Amino acid sequence: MPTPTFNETRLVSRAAQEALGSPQVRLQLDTLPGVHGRYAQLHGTSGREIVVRGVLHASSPSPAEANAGIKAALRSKQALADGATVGDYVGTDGVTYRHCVVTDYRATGEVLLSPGAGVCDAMIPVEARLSQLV
Amino acid sequence: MSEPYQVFSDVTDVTLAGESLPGVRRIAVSRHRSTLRAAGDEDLYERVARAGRWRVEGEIDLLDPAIAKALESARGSLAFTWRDSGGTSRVVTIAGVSIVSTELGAGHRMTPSARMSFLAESPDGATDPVSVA
Repeated sequence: MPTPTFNETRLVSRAAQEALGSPQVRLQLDTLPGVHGRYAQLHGTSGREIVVRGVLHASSPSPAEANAGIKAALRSKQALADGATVGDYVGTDGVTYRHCVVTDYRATGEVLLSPGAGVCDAMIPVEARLSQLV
Repeated sequence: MSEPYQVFSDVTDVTLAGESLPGVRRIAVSRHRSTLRAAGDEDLYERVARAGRWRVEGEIDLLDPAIAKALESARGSLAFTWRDSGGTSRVVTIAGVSIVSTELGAGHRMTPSARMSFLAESPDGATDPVSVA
């Protein structure tokens, strides 16, 4: 199953949803005295915003370790939002969007601890925001 | 989820926060778990459908509205003796009980009654608030 990646790093563990923002159109509109209509200067597009939602997952023997594991996983993903790296984003359909930066990576809900036989799973819903620059 | 809902009838020696609670007809405990559900863009079925932490709450039905009213802000352990289906007496203790609502019923030629709803908290986040000895 394709999972969206940024700079070849998976953005979420499971259940990846992607919301593609609109391409931003760059244009300058003016009105001219005595002339009907508007004067438009078109300058192409300037990228788009992309929102990725999903779930991060970590497993450990105890609830406390599972919580520590999921927080470490979250901080690791948040390191993608470093304000420096421009990379490729690959979407849930495998399409590549060039020249993206991660602008925001946050948990959107509470940690869910799910105990099993000898293992405790920790999951947390997350949301990443990317900006395509061109 | 071994015990999703349990009704204790035939209870005696009921105490709440150290106070005696006479005339209890029934104590019901329900247990629910929080859930996390999610699916991806190309999933036909939910990719994440997990049950998480327990929420334990319940109700105490008793005959005396005055006692229920007096204990409407009680907080502490709820303990009682319950005779199980095999006839064995067992002591049930529910830790960290907080009363959240009290409904009083009284009317002409009507048996008075009261229902107290409660929440139960775990002492350490890992221990089941309900213990049966």
